[in-house]
Amino acid sequence: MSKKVRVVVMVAVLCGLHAVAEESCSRDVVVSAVERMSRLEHAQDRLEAMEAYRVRSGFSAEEWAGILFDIATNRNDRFVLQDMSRYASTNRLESLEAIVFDAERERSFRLAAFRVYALVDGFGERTSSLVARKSRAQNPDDQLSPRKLWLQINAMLPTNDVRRMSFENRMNIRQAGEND
Amino acid sequence: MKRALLTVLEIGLLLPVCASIPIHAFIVCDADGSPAVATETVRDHISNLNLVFSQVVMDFELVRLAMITNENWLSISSSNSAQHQALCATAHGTGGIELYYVEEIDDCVAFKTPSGLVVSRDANGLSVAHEVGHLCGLTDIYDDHEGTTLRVTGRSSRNRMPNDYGRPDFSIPHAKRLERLLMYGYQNSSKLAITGGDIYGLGRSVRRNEESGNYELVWDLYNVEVGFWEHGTRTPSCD
Repeated sequence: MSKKVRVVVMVAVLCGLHAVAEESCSRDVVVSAVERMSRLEHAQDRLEAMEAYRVRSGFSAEEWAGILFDIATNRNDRFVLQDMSRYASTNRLESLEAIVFDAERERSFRLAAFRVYALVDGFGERTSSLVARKSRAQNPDDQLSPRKLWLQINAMLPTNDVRRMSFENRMNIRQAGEND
Repeated sequence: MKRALLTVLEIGLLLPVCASIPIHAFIVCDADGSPAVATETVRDHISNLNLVFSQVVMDFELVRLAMITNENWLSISSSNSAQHQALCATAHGTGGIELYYVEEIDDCVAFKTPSGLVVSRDANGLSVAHEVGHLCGLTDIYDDHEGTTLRVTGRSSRNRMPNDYGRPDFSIPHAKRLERLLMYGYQNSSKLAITGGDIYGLGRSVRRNEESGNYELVWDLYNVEVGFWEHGTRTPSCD
């Protein structure tokens, strides 16, 4: 290898190392900022802080949803996961569904994943389908019953909400209850 | 006669200070009677509350601890006002503080409603004390917040705590001092202090928008209303 080529290779390697270091550094900065924001006492406060940080850092809503999802799943942090619902698109539904079905994870974290799922789906057909599938696949050792999922829907929608009524009509509540 | 009159006056002035504030706590249970939290948790929170508020001579007494069986209230969404209004209508207007213990709240550990405090099993005594601080008229204080570029920097000084008493250590960064305040906006395990006077920090103040004429909340560095003698009340209210 000539001296010239060797210098070029060396510069390329150094640039690559610098880029990796910069990327991991900026990622650490984002993680640490999210960690701090997640400790804000009031939910509304957290929303304001996260949105301001996201806009200032130039992340799109979809990118931000990905960042929050990674941080939440690494730390089993249900509040960070819940915050993700404001940014997530339907692209995230499969990952969220995997969490709902993952019996190894903490129940409250799985419930949060379901809430985000329902919010992103707009309490639509996919949400009722998920509860129905959960009902069929219910394992006696699984602490997350379909009935619990059903109660989440009740918690999120006012009693006179049209979507709730249509959801109630679509769902076979009795079957979910039997598996409780 | 004069002495007796003075004694009566003194007792009259002290009574409101010494009277315990009644706490009415309700624990939501599922259909099988399984409670969202253990009764010991509630008692533990009240003893923490008493410990924190002993700084301002306030005392809380648990006068009622009742169970509510309604599984629709086990999981509360803070944005679903119809749901938490229904829960908090259970015993509104007791003359004390109503605490409603639920299994979980979707996006926080405890929050204030116009009719009581909703507390999840994830909350600790300090979370409850912080919310009671709001009921007593105190506001949140921060050292920084992503919603603004303003930051608290530099050391503590008399000017930054003009009406607070004692001999504070001025060698520490002022932001560190804020972390010890009960009304500090971030959760930590060291926020216990209730000061007499307001403290300089980052807070939200109400300003009138000159263009629209509307009042709005804006971030500002000022003496934030965390001082009990200046802005606190011993008759906590949810309103």
